[in-house]
Amino acid sequence: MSAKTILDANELVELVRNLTPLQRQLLINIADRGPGLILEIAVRVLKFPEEVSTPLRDLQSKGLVATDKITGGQLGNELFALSEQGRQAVTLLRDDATRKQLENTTTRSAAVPTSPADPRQQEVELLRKLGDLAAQAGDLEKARTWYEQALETTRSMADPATKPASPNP
Amino acid sequence: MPLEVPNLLYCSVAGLIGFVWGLGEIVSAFKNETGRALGTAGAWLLILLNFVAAAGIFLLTAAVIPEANNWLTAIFIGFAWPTVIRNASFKLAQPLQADGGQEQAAIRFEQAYATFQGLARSLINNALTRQRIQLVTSATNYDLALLERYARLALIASPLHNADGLPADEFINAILARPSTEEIKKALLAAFIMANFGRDMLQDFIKERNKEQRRKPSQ
Repeated sequence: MSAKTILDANELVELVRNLTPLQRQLLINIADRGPGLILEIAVRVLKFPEEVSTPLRDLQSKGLVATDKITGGQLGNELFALSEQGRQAVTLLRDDATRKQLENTTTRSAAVPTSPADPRQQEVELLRKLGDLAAQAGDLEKARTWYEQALETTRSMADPATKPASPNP
Repeated sequence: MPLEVPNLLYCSVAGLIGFVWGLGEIVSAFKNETGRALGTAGAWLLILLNFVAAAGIFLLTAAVIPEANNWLTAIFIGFAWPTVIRNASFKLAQPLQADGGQEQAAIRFEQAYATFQGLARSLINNALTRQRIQLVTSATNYDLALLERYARLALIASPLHNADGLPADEFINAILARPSTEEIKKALLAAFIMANFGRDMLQDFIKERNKEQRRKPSQ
């Protein structure tokens, strides 16, 4: 379970990193204001339905947003709401450290690459965040598991024998 | 020896705690529209399920264990229902082979409750969305100019901040400048008012217009 979930956490951060600013705004808006039709979600962010339709469909294909059919809808029959993964993505987006990391990654991508950091550092941060999420959800057992894994990874980073080799020759 | 009849008062205590728990779930899930959500059938379906489940478990317990027919057990079961009992599983049948087939033969209350919760949420969202659609559709019966004026007044009273994209007043201009029918522009303005200033704001607009229309024939 742990290997798959670590991969899922990495995938989620990568997913969030690749979202456009509008998509991030849409996710946060749906989290704050609740589910809505395309028309409602569009005017909440001061856009028109055709401007948010494609970003929303993309979010749906990424599993961050789910739709529910409604009956008797003269203004549309699909209600967009956050999926569980979408809620986790919003939590990441609201986390100051993650937001700065995402912003730095965006600005750094055009800069000259510096010496590579230990990839396990990111893993530790993700495991910590997963622990925070689980604790907020009330699942203390799972939170403890995440924190313990973060601790093990941190300890392995402190051991020089386990330091990953530099990709540069 | 005849079974002792469980005390209905104790049963109600257990049910009431379950009821409050269900109410809490609705309030938590629909923070923005709690009052309206509680007016839907889906909400009461979920709340009553929690009431009946907690009360039913107490009845079962008290019928099987007569000593448990007291208020302490009722309170315990009321609180245990959402935290312990819902996470339990109940075996449907003893499998012939002792392998992974055991899981398939069990009902997990948590899964069953999650399915029911999803149904309730869907019913509530459907009902609330239909109400909002109806409100927007009603607002389109009035003049475009009136809707525009109301939207701009609302903006003055409660300015919106949009970090990315058009300022709110320019968004209203953009709606009016769209090459669309007047009906679509009215729907956009009505949805804009409701989404950014609340449903009550749009309802007040409709009430005021209805009052004006009632006053006109008498003048």
